[in-house]
This record gives sequence, structure tokens and C-alpha cells, in this order.
Amino acid sequence: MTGSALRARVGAVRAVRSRGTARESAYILYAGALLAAVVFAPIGKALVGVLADSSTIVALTSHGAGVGVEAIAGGLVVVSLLVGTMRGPALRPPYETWVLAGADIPRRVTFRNPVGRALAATTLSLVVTAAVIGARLLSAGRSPLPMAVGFVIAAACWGIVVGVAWLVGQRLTPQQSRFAAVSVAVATSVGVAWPVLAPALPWAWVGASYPHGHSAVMVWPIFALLFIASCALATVGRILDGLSGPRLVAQAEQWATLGAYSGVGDMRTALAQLRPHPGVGRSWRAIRARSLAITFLVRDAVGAARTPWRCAMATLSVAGSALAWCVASTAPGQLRLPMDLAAAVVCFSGIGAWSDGLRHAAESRQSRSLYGLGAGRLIRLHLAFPVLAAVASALIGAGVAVAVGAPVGGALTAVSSAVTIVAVRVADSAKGTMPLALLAPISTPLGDFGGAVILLWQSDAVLFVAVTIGSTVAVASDAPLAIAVLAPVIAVAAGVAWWRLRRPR
Amino acid sequence: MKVDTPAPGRPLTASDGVTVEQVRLARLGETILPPTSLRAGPGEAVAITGPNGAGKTTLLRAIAGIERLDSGSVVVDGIRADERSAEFRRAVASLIGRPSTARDLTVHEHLAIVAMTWGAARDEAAAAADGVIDECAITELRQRFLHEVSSGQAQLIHLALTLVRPFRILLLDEPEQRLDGARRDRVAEILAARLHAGATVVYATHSAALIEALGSRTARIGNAA
Repeated sequence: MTGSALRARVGAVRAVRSRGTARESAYILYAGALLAAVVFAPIGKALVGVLADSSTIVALTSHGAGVGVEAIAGGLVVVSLLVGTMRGPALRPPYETWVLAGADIPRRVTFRNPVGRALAATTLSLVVTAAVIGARLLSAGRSPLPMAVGFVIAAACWGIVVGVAWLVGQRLTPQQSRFAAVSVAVATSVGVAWPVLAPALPWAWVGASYPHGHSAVMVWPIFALLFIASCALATVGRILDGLSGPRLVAQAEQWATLGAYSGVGDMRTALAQLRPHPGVGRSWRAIRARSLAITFLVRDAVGAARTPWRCAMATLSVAGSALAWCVASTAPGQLRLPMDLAAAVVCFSGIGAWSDGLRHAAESRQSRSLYGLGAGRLIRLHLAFPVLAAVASALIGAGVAVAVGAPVGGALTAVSSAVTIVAVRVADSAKGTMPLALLAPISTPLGDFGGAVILLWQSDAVLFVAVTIGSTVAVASDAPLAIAVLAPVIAVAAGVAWWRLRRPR
Repeated sequence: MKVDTPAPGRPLTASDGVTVEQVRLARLGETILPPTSLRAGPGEAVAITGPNGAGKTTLLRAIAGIERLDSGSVVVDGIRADERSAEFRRAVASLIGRPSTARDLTVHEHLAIVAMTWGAARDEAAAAADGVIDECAITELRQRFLHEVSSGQAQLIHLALTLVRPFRILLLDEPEQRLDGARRDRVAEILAARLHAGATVVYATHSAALIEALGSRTARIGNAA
């Protein structure tokens, strides 16, 4: 069968899916325009402000900028490998996936389009980022045009490599992907620590093409990157053909389910689709203490250790956030607040992995006759583990920061912030399902704002964390002041949790 | 009412039973449970029967103190039905719908920690967990996580979670669902043992065999056959 005939069969399967009406398409366009005006335009304006700030050019021309690019390039491959295990680029709706994965058509044909779009997206993202950085350096007279162009070409090559790494993450088993990701992470760290190894590490070639710190264009890294990007592209067909059918269907169903739940505002159930099930440690004794308090602490710790990868990611997230908070206190001008806000969100996300007990305790209100303790008491019992884990992880990150010269006061603030985020997690766990009334349209002269209200309801905890903790850490320079501000935040979170647990379901 | 503390998994004492008098529920103007009365004494089983949608689960939820009544009354073991009351919750064990379970515990650990929250010491809780595991014939699932079991096995585990705690009144919504013949017989034996120990069992069912095995009185809701 010819290639065009095969593609025609793929097209026939895709045609089964109902197409949106013109009215629906118009609404999507309208909603997109509204989103761009209300959300993306202010973000873009803020980014332009950050770029225009003189402190940005100082950071972009600092001695470690090239090494930073190298670390980010390696980190992107790590993230791509990991994301591929959960949501690979070869993704179609469940019905199409089920039919096409079971058909006698090579997967390099059936999944070519979504993978092509994914590769284009990763490449375009890095090209735009590199172009913005290059343009800023160019406009400041800190880089000649050929070097900036070379950096953009290097970024385009790396975008292809990152896209293919994403596909590799989907092709490998989760264990293999994690092993590959850890290997790349270790190699990146080693490369950053010992620059003499840079010529042997592809992500270091991206750093070497950075348009500052050299007297002339670095040609060899660009050619080397062109070569490995070509090699990566050449392997895409073989990788696609090796994708597992059942895993393709499982990912398609998982993301369709997640989309369906998030579409009706049930983000709790939607995110539960992404939580891994425990697979190790079934013989570990989770119930070993005599007192209930210790029993719940040990039970939560063992439960978390049964998803070791998730637990490790949580530790890294919280430690990394603490490190970022401490380092941000010495960061230049406009970079500090974005760093603190991002760290708060990452820390909130990491602590989520240790909050399974809190969520389960809150959910136990639905089956009250199961446990002999009320939801409030269960939550208090489940609180010890996330608090201890957050403090320990934050201390690791803050300790590293202090060791490299950050002020000790920042470490105390970082630990207090992590504890505060646990309190917000408690309130978030007790939230329950979204009230149906929020699904009602809210007509305004600018259109239906019902979606914005749903979005606000779903993301209230993370917004609260970003605003309160991110800004507190950014503004309060000394630890006592930060702790004095965060203590009422904990009280508010506890009050919200108490109110949510007491209200009728 | 003072409550004694026997070993987990066994009824506390002979119950005063369940008394439902002219209970009616309506939502948004629609009657979801017509006026219904029933009485189940200590050591007695009452099967609630009727077609799908007749209100069997709603009646069980009313007895479990979860539903707000529009009229009538439910008294369980001398206590007005209200799940907010700790005393009421201690008397009544119920399996109505799927309970919220922990994803990071094995079956045995889950049973043990449930028993501990009802006052059992660690070793007693472990023994109680072993007891219901043997009783429900799910020994091979002892170290499984709950996502690793079939729907029928999950039904037995949910039943074990309900039985591992102390109770005087047992409320079950179609305990036979998703079970094969042998396991349905096992459930009948388990419930018969609880009845013999003095518990009151009220359950919704579509199984004539289960009704016969337990020698239950029936309370029929709805008109259709």
C-alpha cells in the first residue's frame, strides 16, 4: 500500500470524530482573544518590563549565563523524558488511538501528525526564547548579530532534541525513562561542575553557543548540534514504530478522562488521574506503632515511600524552592519576585505528593462510618508527616543555599514558608467538590465570565500561595518579619479548613 | 447511652434495632422515597427489595442518618438517626456505595488502621484484620493495594472494612453485587454469624437466595415487579 493510501485510511478514521460547528469555532476564537487580552497581554507586558530592566542585562551577561543555559538545556531533556511517561507527543483521542493502534498501518504514519506538531512546538518555543535573549543582548550592544543568530540555530536544534527525548520518554517503560532522566540529570550536574567535560556533553554545546563571553561565533557547537538534531529526527520513525499499543491507548484514555473532569471543574478527580499507584514496599510495615499519632506518621511515611519517584520529586521540589527563596534574596531587582512566586508554586506542587493522607481524611466525610474518628481529628493525625517532610526538605535546600553564601535568615523564612504551604494544603484538601451553582453563566458586557469563576475556584489555593508566600518572601527581607506575616496566613488556612469541614456536604 | 468496647469486628451488644416510621423524602418537588415504615429487631435481618430507582438506597441512607427527612422518623438503637452524632456512628456500620479508601495501604494495613481508629490496640487491630480477611476468604489479597483487585474482590474488601469495626446495626446496599455464587454464599454466612451474635442487619438486595439464606423479612418499596 502506498504512503498516500495509508494516510487516506488514517484520515478516514479521524473523520469519524465530529467536527465543531462554525458557532463553536467562533466561540473558541472569542474565548482565545479574551484570554489573550485579559491574561497573556499583562504577562507579556510584565516580561517586556523584566527584559527592559537593566538588572536583566546584568544577569544575561554574567559569568555564569552560559553555564545556566547548559543546565537548562540538560534539564529540558530530563523533564521531557519524564513527561513522556505520562503524556507523550504521540497522543490522539481514545477512539482514534484504539482504532489506529490496532490497525495494520505503521505507527510512523498513524502518529506522524501529532508528533510533528509536538516537535514544532518544542522547537518554536526554544527558538522564540533564544531570539528574545539574543535580541536583548544585541540591542544592548553586548553581542554581535552572527553570535545571536548562531544561538537561535542552536536553540532550534535543541528544540528538536527535546521533542525527540519527549517521544523517547513515551517509548521507554517508566522505569527506563526515570533511569535515563536521572542519568542525564547527573551528567548535566557533572558537566556544570567540571567544565572540562563540556565538549562531550550535547547540552553543554547549547551553553557554548550562548552569544556572550566569546570573542567570535562558536561554530563547532552549532555544527555538532545540527548533526545530533538530524540524527534525532532520523530516529523518529523507528521510535514511533516501537510504541506500545496498550500504552498509547492507556495514555489517550487517561488524558481524555482528565480533560473531561477538568472540563466540568472537578480538578481533584482530574489530577488524581496523574497520581501514580504504589508498586513497591507492600511488605513494609506501615502499621507498627502503639499510639495513633505515631501510627499515622509512620503510615504516611511508608505510604509516600511506596511511590519513591513521586516522593523524590516532592523532596527535590521543596528543597529546590527553599534554595530559590534563599538565593532570590540576593537576586537583582525585578527577578526576585518572579523567582519567589515560581518557587511558591513549585513548593505547593511538591507538598501535594505528601498530602495523600490529608486528602483521604477529608474524603472520609463521605463514608463517615468507616473510621472511628472525625475528619478533623484524622486530618490532624495526617498532618505530622507533610510538616516534617516539608521542614526536612526545606532545610536541605536552605542548607545548600547558606553553604554557598545566602543569608541564614532566608533559610528560616524558607522553612516557615514550606510549613505555611502545608497549612494551605490542609485547607485545599477540605475543599470538597465544586458547587454546581458555579457552572451557571455570568453575563457581562465582555461576555460570559463563568469560566473565569470556575478557574478561580479551582486554582484558589495555588493563587493564595503564590500571592501570600511569594510576595512575603520577596518583600520581607528578614526572617522575624516574614514569620510574623506568615503566622496569620497559617491561621487563615486553618480557619478555612475548619469551616470547610463543618459546612454541610 | 453508654457504649461498651468489645473486640473489633464483633457487634457491641444486642441492639435495640431499627424503627422507621412513615419516612418520606422529596427533592426538587419529586418524591424519591414514598412514605415507608419498617422495624428490625436485635438479631433480625430485614431485606429492602424493589425495582431500580424505587428508593432502596435512599431508605438505607435515611437509616444511616445521611439524608434529611421530609417527614417521619428513624430511630436506631434508641438514638435518632444522625450521622453527625459520634454515639450514632459507633452503633451503625454501613456500606452504602463505595467507601473512600487509601491508595497507599495494603488491604491488611487498611483494615488494621480502621480498627485502631475504633479503639483497638495495635495487636488487637492486626488480629481483627486477620479475622475478617479469613472470614471473607480474601487471604490472597492481604498484601495487595486496592488498585490491584477486581471489582468483586473490591466488594469483599469493602465489606471487610465495614465488618472490622464494632457495631450493633449493619446497613448494606446490595452486598451481593459483583460477586460470584461461592462468594455470595460466603457473604450470607458472614451476615448470618453477625445476626447470631445479636446485630441487626438491614440491607437492600435483588437476591432471593440471600434473603432465603438469612431468613430475612422483606420490606418492599415501589409497585413494579
